[in-house]
Formats: sequence, structure tokens, C-alpha cells
Amino acid sequence: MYALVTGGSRGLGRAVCVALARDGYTVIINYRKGQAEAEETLRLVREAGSDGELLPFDVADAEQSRQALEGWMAAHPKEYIACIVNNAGIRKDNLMVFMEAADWSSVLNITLNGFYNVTQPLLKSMLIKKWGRIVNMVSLSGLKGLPGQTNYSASKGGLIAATKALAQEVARKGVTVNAVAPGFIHSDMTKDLDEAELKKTIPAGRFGDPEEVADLVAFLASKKSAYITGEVVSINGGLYT
Amino acid sequence: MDKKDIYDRLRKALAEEFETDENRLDESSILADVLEIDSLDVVDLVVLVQENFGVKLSKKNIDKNTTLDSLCQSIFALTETTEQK
Repeated sequence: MYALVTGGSRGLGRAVCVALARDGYTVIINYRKGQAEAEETLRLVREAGSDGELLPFDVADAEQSRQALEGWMAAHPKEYIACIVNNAGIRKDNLMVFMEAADWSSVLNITLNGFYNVTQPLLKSMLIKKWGRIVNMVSLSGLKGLPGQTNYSASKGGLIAATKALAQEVARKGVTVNAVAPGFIHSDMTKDLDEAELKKTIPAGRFGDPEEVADLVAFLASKKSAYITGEVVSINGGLYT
Repeated sequence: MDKKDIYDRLRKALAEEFETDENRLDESSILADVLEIDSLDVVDLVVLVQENFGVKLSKKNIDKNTTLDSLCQSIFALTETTEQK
């Protein structure tokens, strides 16, 4: 079975690719730039005992996404993408009073429009096959709202609402839709944060690791999670409950 | 393929796909009622028609009042158009 991971070349996306490979998925690694990193992810996927392929496109670009996905489907007429992990996302933090319009729209375009651009063309096959898994990477920021992240919180909050709505639409067809909301996780996205100071606020007393998030995603992408849908599962060391 | 062929084949295929007795279906059967087809099942219906008749229904061919007969008419019209091409 095929799984597509957007933003799969590095960070959390890479860890998710490896975890899905370990569970037997053939992994389609999407990325926008950074081919060398994507190839390293592919190497790790193979090392984990499965196989994969690279599928570069910009999830924020509707036409590019559709062409890439329709191209994949045309090249694999007997297969379908049974699992989507909508992981691609960026942060452009700023206080709202200083936020440029471009920073507002680029964050929403990747997270929220990207979810539509990738999920919509692939959903029909899942409905026909009556089996599918969609896991959306959201954030504590989308649940609680974090100052300095109005754009990011809006995009993740929107994705949480979309998760819940779509889950109810497609549950009857064996397709589950869930979201994973990480707190502070070691990654490129958090490397500029003051870890020593921030971890004092986390009940578990530490940042999480990408592999811990990936294991949760892999569970939601597995057969074992068939009765869980429309959920947002937090993974944050008790930071927000 | 004439209308009678389409009707017979469609009736059989629908009964199989939507797990009902073929005898429950006649020309005036409203699909939404007899087969309990809702908006999401339209996907299955479109695929069924495509696999059996090689034509692609659009959403406007199917609504809550679609009967077996009206669906046959739509398929017949589409197959005619395809053959003419």
C-alpha cells in the first residue's frame, strides 16, 4: 500500500516516512526543494525495509499538485494512495501588528490550501476502495493559539476543523481522518527556540523527538486505528491538556 | 447496446453493488429510496457505470429523484455520443 507524506524530506516528515516504511507502506516522499535531503529520506525508507519514490511539487500550487498527483495515478493504474500525511507547513512568525500580507497568505496557502490540493484529488480512490487513512499534522498552536503565530494558529486551527468535517463525510467508507498536534518537538522548526527555558514549562520536562510523533502518525495510519476518526491527538508532554 | 441491454445490465450491477434483490428494482424505482444511495454513494455509482458501460456520468445525471429508467436514459445518451465520436 502507498502512503504519501507531504514535506517528507526532513524533520517530522522524514521521521513519519521512516515509521510508515517500517509498517510496510511504500512511501511517496513529497518535497518542494531540497532534493538531497529527500534522497536521504528515501535511503532511510529503504533501510527501514520498504521502498519509496520522490514526488516533488509545491502543495500550495493547486495546478502543480493536481498534475503531479494525476501523473502518479496515471503511472500506477492498478494502485492507489491509501494514506496521506499532510505534513507540509511553514512558520512565518510575527506579531499581527507587524505581519506582512505575504506572511499571512504563504502560511495559510501551504497548510490549508495544501491540504485541499493534495487530499481532494486522492480522496475518490479511497472512497472507491473503501479504505483510507488521512493524518493531518497540526499543532498546539492550532488548538490553543499562540501569540506571534496568528497566521500559523489560523492555518492549523482551520486544518483541525477540516479534519473534523471530512471525517464525518467519509467515515462510512472506511476512511479515517485525524490530526496530530505536537507541542515542542526537536526539529528545524524549533531549533531557534530557547529550549532550556521552554522545557521548564513542559510537565514532562523535555522536548519531544520526531520519532515519537512519527509513531503516533503510524498508528493512526494503521489498521489498528479503524474506529478513531475526527480526532485531534495531542503529543506535547502534558503542556496543554 | 440498446436500452433494454443497458437496463438489464444496470439492474443486475446495481443489485450486486448495493446488496439488494434484483426483483426489488424496476424502471420506476427511485435509486435514493430503493438502494439507499446518498450523496457519497454517487462515487460508487459513477464507477459502476464507467466499468460497465465505459461512459462517465456527471453529477447532474444523478439526484434524489433519479430512477432506474432515467439513469438508463442518461447512460444510453452518453453511449450514443461516445459511439458517434
